Amino acid sequence: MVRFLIRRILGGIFVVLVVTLAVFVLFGPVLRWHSNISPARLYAGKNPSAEQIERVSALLGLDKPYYVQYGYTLKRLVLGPSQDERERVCPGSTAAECDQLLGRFGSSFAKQRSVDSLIWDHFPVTLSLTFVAAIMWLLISIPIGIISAIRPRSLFDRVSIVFVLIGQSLPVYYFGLLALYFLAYKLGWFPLSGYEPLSNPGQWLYHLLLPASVLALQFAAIYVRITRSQMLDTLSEDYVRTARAKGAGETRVVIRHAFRNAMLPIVTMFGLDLGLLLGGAILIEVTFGLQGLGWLAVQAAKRLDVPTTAGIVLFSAIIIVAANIVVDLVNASLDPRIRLE
Amino acid sequence: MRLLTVDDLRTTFRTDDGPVGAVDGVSLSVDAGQVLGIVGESGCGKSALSLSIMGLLPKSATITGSIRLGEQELVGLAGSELRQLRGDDMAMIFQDPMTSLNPVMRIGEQLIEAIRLHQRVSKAEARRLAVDGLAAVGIPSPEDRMRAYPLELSGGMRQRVMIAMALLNRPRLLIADEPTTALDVTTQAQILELMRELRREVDAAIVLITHDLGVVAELCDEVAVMYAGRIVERAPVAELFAHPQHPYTWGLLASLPGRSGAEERLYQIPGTPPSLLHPPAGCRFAPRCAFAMDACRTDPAPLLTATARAGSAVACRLDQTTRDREGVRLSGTEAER
Repeated sequence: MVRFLIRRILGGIFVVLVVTLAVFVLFGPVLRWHSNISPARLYAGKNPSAEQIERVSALLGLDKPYYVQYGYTLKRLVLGPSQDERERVCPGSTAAECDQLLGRFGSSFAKQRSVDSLIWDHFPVTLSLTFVAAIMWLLISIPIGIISAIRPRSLFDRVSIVFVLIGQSLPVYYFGLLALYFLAYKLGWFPLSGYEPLSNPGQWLYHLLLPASVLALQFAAIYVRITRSQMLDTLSEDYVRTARAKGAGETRVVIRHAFRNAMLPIVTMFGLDLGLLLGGAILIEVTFGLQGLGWLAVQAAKRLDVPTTAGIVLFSAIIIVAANIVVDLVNASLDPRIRLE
Repeated sequence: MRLLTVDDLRTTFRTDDGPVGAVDGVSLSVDAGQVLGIVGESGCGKSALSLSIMGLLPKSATITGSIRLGEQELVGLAGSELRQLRGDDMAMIFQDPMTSLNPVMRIGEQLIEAIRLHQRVSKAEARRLAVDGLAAVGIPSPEDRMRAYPLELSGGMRQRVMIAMALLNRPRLLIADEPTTALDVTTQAQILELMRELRREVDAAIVLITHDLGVVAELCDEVAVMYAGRIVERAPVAELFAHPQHPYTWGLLASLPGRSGAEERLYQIPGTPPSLLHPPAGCRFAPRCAFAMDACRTDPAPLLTATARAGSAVACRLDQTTRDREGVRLSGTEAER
């Protein structure tokens, strides 16, 4: 079990390394070559002179060869900014002031802030949205999926299939706009946009309810389908017949024997989906004006804020890798077949 | 004491192509302490018969007729009442121990569940009973095995666990559906030996479903031969091997290996079993029977009737002399005995 964990963590670190390299190449040399955009130029302000660009280049360390730049980027990601860079980027300021300007993910020249602080400012919004939506879609989809599987081809099952089809085929931005127009604008049941921090739980939930529902509906559709098919599979297993032969009641058979086995692939999918959403649910966040990571990424991309965009991509990748490891751990704890191999 | 009485049982499955009569008018009875073997090839309805008795048929199946456990009628019994009998008064052992135990539950958890579904005992007491149950079926260090998951046990050990689980609540009726089929030959012998021992200890009526006449010879008191949803012959086990009465039984016996010399090809009954969707009009074995007369193909099949041999009954039009003569000749039993 410990070896399994160590192997997964090493694998995860390798994936993150590959992503850092891809991000570095994409947002450095490729961007420069393709669009003639260099961070130094962007940082230097409007219509800079060649001399200004050169000075900024030296300031940001962009005059060094690429491999040196990449090596430094990695080192900064792991250990934080070096004293040398701190002195170059924020001369004469205190450590706390400099932390606001420069972090492990670098510095946003558009906002004059560290990318780290931007991510930590916006991440709670994405986290809250994902959390509320995830609870909603699990609560909706798992009971529906189970009942559909117990009574296949029943009216309930057919209605739920229609629900799945609608949920899966409506794009969130379209469905989100409809919900906003009718439920928030016309009826005034929900706020039109915005986010309230968790310090005010009632308002927090009130502001998240509509976007989370729209997000949850889409995922619920997928989860109904997978729960139903998994349950149909496990309900026809021999050990379910054994449970019935023991004299177990239907509820016990369905929950303790069938669902306990059916939920293993659902847990896997759930973990991966959470990881994906925590990296920013761009469409939902933009539609509902929720200033989460996805929203931040769009803003940064529009402003050509390269360090922020790159930072969010890297941060999302780390979250997804972490989610994968957590999924493996949870699966191993739920399924002895994985644990004991 | 008569424990299980099945009378004119008909089990029909609803399918997309039409109704399939998997069990078609089966009657049988088993006494306490007796082992009844039910023999037949795949698809002859033996599993449908056992699932009918246990009330474990899928929703697409309907049954008519009568199944009595002691004095209690099981056909038409409400689901909850049947559930209380299952695992308590009647228990079942299944064919494939690799898939019959829940892979994500510890052995102990599954055994304790079986006990606590029917006995009002504490967890600790149930645990003790479960350990005893494992010890009784010859599982070494049962305390440790309680914590094991099914995948940590071999097929033979898993089948022992299944047997222990079936016996935990001291059932009056035990149905074993091909309990050795999925096991390798050495393990088969061990499980058969275990069942032979248990037979003496538990005073239950046992219905043993198998396609293996060797297993029948070792374990059973009586045998019922099933063909295409019907019982075609029923006899005490020695009688069946000495004087088989039905042409289908002759074929079964003749196709056993090791009876007619090692170098010879095994005997094969010509033709294939009929489709139960559209079974033959008369005797269902007639299309494959070398002795079939016109009446066999057109008139309704004869009912199971007593023969001149003690305790034996057959559903066949042939006369006693022909049956005795051809039975011995064709199944090659004389040479063996």
